Amino acid sequence: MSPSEVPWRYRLETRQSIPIMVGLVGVLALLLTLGYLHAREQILASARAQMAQLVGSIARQDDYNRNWLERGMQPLVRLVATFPHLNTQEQKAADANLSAIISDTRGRQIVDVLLLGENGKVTVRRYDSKKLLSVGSPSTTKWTRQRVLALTTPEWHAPEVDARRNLMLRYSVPIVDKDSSGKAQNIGVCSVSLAISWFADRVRSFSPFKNGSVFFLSQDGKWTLPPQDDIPLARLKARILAHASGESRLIWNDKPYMAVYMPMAGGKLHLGLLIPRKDLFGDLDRLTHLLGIIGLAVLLLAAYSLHRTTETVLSPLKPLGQLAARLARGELEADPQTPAPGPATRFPDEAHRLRQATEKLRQALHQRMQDLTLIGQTRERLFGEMTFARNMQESMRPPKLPHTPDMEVAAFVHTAGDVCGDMYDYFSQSPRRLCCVMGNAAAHGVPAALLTSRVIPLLHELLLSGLAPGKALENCNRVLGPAASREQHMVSVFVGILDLDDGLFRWASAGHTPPFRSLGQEVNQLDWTGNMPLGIRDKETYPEREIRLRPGESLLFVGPRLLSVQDAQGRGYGEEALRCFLARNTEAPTGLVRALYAQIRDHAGGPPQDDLTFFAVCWRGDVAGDKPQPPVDPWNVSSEAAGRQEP
Amino acid sequence: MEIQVCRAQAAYIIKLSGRWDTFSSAAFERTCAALIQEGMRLVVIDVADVDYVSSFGLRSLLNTGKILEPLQGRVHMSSLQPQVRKVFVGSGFSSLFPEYPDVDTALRAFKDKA
Repeated sequence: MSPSEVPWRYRLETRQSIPIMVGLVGVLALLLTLGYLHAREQILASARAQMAQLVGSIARQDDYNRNWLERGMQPLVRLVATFPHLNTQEQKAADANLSAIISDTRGRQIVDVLLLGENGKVTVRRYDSKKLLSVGSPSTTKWTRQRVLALTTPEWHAPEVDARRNLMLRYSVPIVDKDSSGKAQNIGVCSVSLAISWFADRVRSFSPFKNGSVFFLSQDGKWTLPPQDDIPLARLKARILAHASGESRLIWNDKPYMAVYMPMAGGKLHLGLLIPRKDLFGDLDRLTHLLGIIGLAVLLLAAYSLHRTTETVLSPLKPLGQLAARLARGELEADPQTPAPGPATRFPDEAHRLRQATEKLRQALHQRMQDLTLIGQTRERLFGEMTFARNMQESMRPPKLPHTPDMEVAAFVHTAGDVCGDMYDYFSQSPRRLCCVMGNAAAHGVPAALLTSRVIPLLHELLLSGLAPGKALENCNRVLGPAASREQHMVSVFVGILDLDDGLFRWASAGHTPPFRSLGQEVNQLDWTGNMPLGIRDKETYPEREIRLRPGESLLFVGPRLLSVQDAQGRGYGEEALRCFLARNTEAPTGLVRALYAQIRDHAGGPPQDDLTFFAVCWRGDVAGDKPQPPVDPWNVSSEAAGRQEP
Repeated sequence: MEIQVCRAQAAYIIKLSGRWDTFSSAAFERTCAALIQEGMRLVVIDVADVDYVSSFGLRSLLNTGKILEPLQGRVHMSSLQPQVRKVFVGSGFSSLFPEYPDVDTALRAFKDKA
C-alpha cells in the first residue's frame, strides 16, 4: 500500500501540523503588530513632547523679540512725534536718523509711520534700516483715519506670514502730540514689522529632527511652507485649522512624512513639524523588519522541527495503521510489501511494541482462521461419516417379517442423535422359531454404534447357527470381551427364542432389562437373571430360562432408558407407569408401540432427549388349531438353575 | 447428582445423591480418580439417596473398580434402594462389588476381610 492510498484519517501528521503552524503564525503576527503599535505610539509621544518643548522655546523667543521691539519703538515714536513740525530739510535729516535707529539684527525690520494730515488724509512713510523706502497713501497698509484715531494704546497684531513666507511680528504705537491748547491728540501711528526669516532655522536647531521642516500657520491660512498648490499640503493645512493639534501622515515630494502640530501664541498661530517618516520610524521599521525575519526564520525552524517530530513519532504508527486497516478488512495474510517489524531501535518504543503485538495478533487470527477452516473441513467429513454410520445403523435394523396369522411384531426407535447405542433384532431362526434380541451399549455416538454394529451381526450369526440364547451370549462375550474390557465398554443384551408352535419362550440375559409380558390386564416382567453385561468378564456364563406364552399374549422389549425418561419435574417414567400402560392398552403391537411413544412424549413434554428403542411381539397361538397346546402354567418360570440366583 | 466425600480412618465414604446417569457418572469417575491419587484404597459408596442408576453409572463404577483392583483396593456398596438394587443385582454387579445394608456394616466388612 502506497502512502497516497492511506486514508486521510490515518495521516495524522498533516491534521496536527496545520493548526499548530497557523497558531504559531497568528501568535507571532499578533505579537509583532502589538509591539509595532506600542513602539509607534511611544515615538509619537516623544515627538509630541519635543513639539511641546519647541513651543515653549518659541514662546520665550517671542517674548524676547517683543520686548526688543517695544524698547526699540520708544525712540522711534519720540522722533516721529516731531515730524509734523519739521521742514523739508529737517525731515530728510529725521528720515536718516530714523533709518539709523532701525535694526535688522533680529530680522528685517520695516517701520511704517502713518501721519494724519490737516485735510484728514493719512500719509504713510515706510522705512527700513537703510533709508526711506516710500511715501504714499495708506491703501497699501490698510490703515484708515478712523483706525489711526482709534489706536490709543500700543497694540500687538496677530503674527502673520508675509509674501516671502517669513513669520512677521507687528507692533503699533499711537503718536500723540499736544495741540495749541496743550491737549494731547493722536496724530498718527508708528507700526513696526519684524520679518523673522531665521526663526524657522532657529527653531530647527532646537529640534532633534535635523531633517524636519518647522512651519508656522497663521489664522488667515498663510504659512511658511511652499504655496498650497500641493494637494497633500492643502489637506494638511485644512486638518491643522480644523483640529489645532495632532499628527497626520502625508506624502510630500514623493516622500512619506509625518506632521506633528499644535497651537501657540494663544491659538493665533500654529507650529508644525514635518518629519520624514524614515527619521521618525526608521529605526522602528528596521527593528520590525528584523524581528519579522527572525520570527519567520524561527517559524520555519519550528515547522521543520514539528514536521520532523511528527514524522519520528508517527512513522512507526503508519505500518500499524495499515495493519489495523487490513485486519478491519479481514485481510489476515501477511502483506509481502510490508516488512515484518524488527527489533526496537530505541527505548522506549511503545509504537513499535504495539506493532509487534498487532502483528502477533494478525498471525494468531490467521492461524485461528486456518484452524477454523480445518475444523470446518473435519466437521464436514465427520458429518459425512456420521451420516454414513446412521445409514449403516438403519440398514442393520431388521426388516419387516412376513405377515403370519399367529404372530405380529412391531418396533419403534427414537434416536436423539445421529446414531444410538440401542440395538434390537428379530429374525426367524427356523420357520417356526423367532429370535428376539434387545440390547444397549453403555456408550454414546460412534463408539456405541461401533459396538452395536459388532454385537448384532455376531449374535445374528450365532443364533442362526442354531445356538441357544445362553450359548450365543457366551460366545459373543468371548469374542467381544478383550476389546470391550480394554476400552472400558460393556453391552447389555437380552436374547430370547419364541417357538411359534407352542409359545415356548426361552431366553438368556446379559444384564439387560427383561421384557414385560401382558395378556389383558395382566402385566408381569420376566425375571432378572443376575448375569453381567458383555465385555466385563471373559468366562461369564449365561443360563437360560423359559416360559410358555398363552395365545394372544405379548412381550414388550424395552431399552433401559425408557424407564428413566424424565418429566419437567425430573421424575422418571418408571416401571409402574409402564405396567399401568400395558394393563390399559391391549391392542396389537403396531398400535401398542405408537401409543407407548405418545405417552412417553406426553410424559417428557416433547421428544425425549435420549435414545429410545422398544418393540413388541404378540403370539396368537396355533390359529389353525391342528396342534394341541400343552397344559402349562404361563407364569411358572422353569429355570435351568445353573446360573446366578435372581435378585 | 451430588457427591460428598468423607473419611472414616483408612476408608473413604462417597455419598451419592440423585440420578447416577450419563452426566453424573463422569463427575463420579473424576472424583474417584482424584481420591485414588490421594491414596484412597478402601471406599464405601453410599447410594441411599440414589433413585436411578443407568448403564453409564454401572460402567463408571466398574472402571473405578478396575483402577483399584491392582492397587489392592476394594469397593463396598451400601444402602441400595429397591429400584437401584434390582438393576445392580440383576446385572450381576453384586458379584463384583459386595453390598451392605448400611455404611457402618460396609466399613466393618473391610476390617473383617482384613
